[in-house]
Amino acid sequence: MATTAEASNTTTGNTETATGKMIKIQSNDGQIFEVDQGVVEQSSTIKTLSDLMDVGDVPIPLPNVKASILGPIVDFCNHHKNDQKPEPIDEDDDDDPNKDIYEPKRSDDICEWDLNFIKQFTVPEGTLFDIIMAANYLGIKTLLAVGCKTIANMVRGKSSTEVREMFNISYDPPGEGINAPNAIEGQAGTVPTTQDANATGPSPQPDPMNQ
Amino acid sequence: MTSSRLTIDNLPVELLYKIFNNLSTFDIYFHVSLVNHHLYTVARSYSNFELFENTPEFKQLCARLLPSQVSSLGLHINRTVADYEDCDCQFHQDYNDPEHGPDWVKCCVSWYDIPVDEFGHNQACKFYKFNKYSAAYHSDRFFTFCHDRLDQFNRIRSLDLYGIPEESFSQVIDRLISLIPQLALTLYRIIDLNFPFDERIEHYTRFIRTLQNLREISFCTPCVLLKLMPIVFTIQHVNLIRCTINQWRDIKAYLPNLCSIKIGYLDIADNHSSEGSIITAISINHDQTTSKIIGFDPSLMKTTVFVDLHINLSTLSYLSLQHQANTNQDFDEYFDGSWWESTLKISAPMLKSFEFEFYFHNPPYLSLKRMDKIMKPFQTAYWMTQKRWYVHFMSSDEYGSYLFTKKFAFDQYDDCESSSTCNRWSIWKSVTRGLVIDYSTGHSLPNLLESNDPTIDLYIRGPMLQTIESSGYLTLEDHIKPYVNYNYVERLRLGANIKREGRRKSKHNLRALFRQVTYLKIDRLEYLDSLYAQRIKFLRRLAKKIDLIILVEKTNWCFSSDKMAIDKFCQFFLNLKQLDLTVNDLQAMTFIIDALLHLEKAIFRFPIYIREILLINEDLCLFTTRLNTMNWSYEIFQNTIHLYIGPKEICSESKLKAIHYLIVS
Repeated sequence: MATTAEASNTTTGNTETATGKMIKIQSNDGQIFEVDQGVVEQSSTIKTLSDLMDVGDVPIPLPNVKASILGPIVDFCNHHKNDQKPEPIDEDDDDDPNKDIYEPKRSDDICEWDLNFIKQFTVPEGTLFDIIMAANYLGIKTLLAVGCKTIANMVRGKSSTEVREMFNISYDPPGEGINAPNAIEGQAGTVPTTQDANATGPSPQPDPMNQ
Repeated sequence: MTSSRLTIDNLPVELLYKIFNNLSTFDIYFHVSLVNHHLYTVARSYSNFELFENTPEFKQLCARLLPSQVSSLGLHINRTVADYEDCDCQFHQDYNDPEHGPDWVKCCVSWYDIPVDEFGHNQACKFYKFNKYSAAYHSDRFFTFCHDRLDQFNRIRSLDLYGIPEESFSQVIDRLISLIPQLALTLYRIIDLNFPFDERIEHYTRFIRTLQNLREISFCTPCVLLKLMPIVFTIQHVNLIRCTINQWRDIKAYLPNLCSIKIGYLDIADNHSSEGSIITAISINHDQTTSKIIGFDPSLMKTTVFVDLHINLSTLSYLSLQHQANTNQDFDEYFDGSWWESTLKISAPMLKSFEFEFYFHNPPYLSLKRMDKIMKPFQTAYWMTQKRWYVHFMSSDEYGSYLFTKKFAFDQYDDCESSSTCNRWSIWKSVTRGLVIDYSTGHSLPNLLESNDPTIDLYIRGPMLQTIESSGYLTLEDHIKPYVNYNYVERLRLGANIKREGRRKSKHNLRALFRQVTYLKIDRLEYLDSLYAQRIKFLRRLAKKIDLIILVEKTNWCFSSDKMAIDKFCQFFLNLKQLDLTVNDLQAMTFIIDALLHLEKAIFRFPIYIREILLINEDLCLFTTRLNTMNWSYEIFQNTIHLYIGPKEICSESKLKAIHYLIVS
């Protein structure tokens, strides 16, 4: 049964008309959120769907996101809807698969509100990865960047053992179990395709920080 | 997607790449890739690695990384951390100094590592003698390790040549051109913050001529760019430490695709002499320009920046000017305001925020008529209704003449005797959108100074004596609400004690009053206390929207004795972006900085006796605060510290402390 959550942070009834059309989105567990155009603009997925379908009062289904994740995402977008728009991307860069490399490698530029926001999601519960996946699915670049930077900040300076412990990853020696050559080949879409024959061949060298 | 618990191990590869984009090569290759076989495989296919020659693991990375995985290459002097251990300092920048000879290297070191010398000054730079051979660039290091694979470096987009000294530069450029010819197509960005001598410029000219897709340069000066101007039309982003105004003009004229330009110092004289130069930070980015200019003669500003460069300033959104007149400056010319409006309308139509302070030390005798004449050009509808920039003028034999902007329309209302009938306010009234509700006489009916609707600036002035309801307090319901339409009030000056009312009335009236308020000025601490006495939880929610607080009364908060008051203030105005208040010690300032996480700009006013302490403590204890990991700058004017917390700019990347940072508009 669908329930409706008032996600807009408006304080007066008049604001609805001031911010334009309200759109309903529905999580995979049936909860409906009402969002304004400022939120829609930040999600390329919702924007595309709302442009393509003349949805009217029918909620846009988001089958990959559950309500416990979609709610905070709407809060995030509401908070950022008045932010300055990012620079337009050059047209000739759109198809450049390496365009990320132009960005400096830094992850200390997460604003305080975003830091506090992301703190509610944790690794043990898997919600931190849920929010990253949802941001990726919904095409919310700012949230995706915050999530990826948060993971990077957690990993930075840690040894491989510490990373394993932090993310509860078991070490699979190469050539066994999931890392058996056949098993790796079978993981279509998970293991990247590489032209390098050695890519899956040699085992990782010992981590100097573990010694 | 949400049915089973996700871990980093089963994130899609493209998301792992995005996480890797925020990690160093060392972290990815020596730690993350060793977590398990899957991450190892993903790391092996990642193609956005940085390879910097000055890192200890350079040799290992050269051996393990595939050339096609390297997107950024940094060639540096082959000097390891061990070489600097004797220095007992953090290395920031080095260059050969002609006065000391080629074996000497000047190290600019971090401020916090340097002990205060016997004169009480931090020593910024020291000279160290390095072994000539160890200091020289081992030009064959990168090329030797990778000699058999140089033709496979086919993804290098960014090249950092900052660490290459003059004597090796030609050799490096030769090798880059001949051994990695594919750079001609792939190279997107060059970084070199060394001061370019003639020979270096020549070699760059030779190199850049071979590049077809260069889009971004980060150089110390624009010399290379200017020399190559007709053939580097692909460049879109220019970052410079220093530039003259003529050079800037040329860059704008010859680069049709220019999207952004950032300049640390802009020299108004067409040379690099200190005389006539200004300290500034200018950034033009697509449709938004921000600028902060300090120590800039306004008359020169008129003739140079706005007139010559009006194209550049057409998107200017923020401008801040501070200047003290020279001794030979003509007073009337200095304060001639008639020029500003017409020029700003044409040259800087997008300007949203304009703040200035012009100071003339020895003014001539000024009659009231002459003072009004100075102010008149700043009292038009353009200044006061359209832009809401309120200009004030103060003059005295002792302190000189100040012309300055203020955030609030009625800042000097109290100075005018019988304010509501004062001639100055009759002019003011015709152009502002403000209202003064003045109970200062103690009568139950206020004097009203009302101007055009809607009311944007509101000044509530309370009784000087306790005559109203025998308490001196005003109630919003009875004393304020009947006279004002709150709907558009953005700037509130509170000059009265507000009495706590019944729960319902209080909530309703507070919500109405603070609905749109973003700027709040509080004249005295007791008025702030009367605010605290309201429905505090409710009011705290409203106060979150407030961007700017100015506390007029000398609070003189001292950390040891007033910690509770400071803490309460910070908790109440948690989201404050701008602040102006008086504190009594540096510790109180640092506490406030740590507590107000959204602070972007603050003015801390100190008692005059600690001015010397401010001048000696160059870091002002700010490195002990949360700012330690952020980008910030400050200026000291007399006994006042202006602190700016802004984004990272080229000036901070080059670690040159002297450059003032940009303020975000």
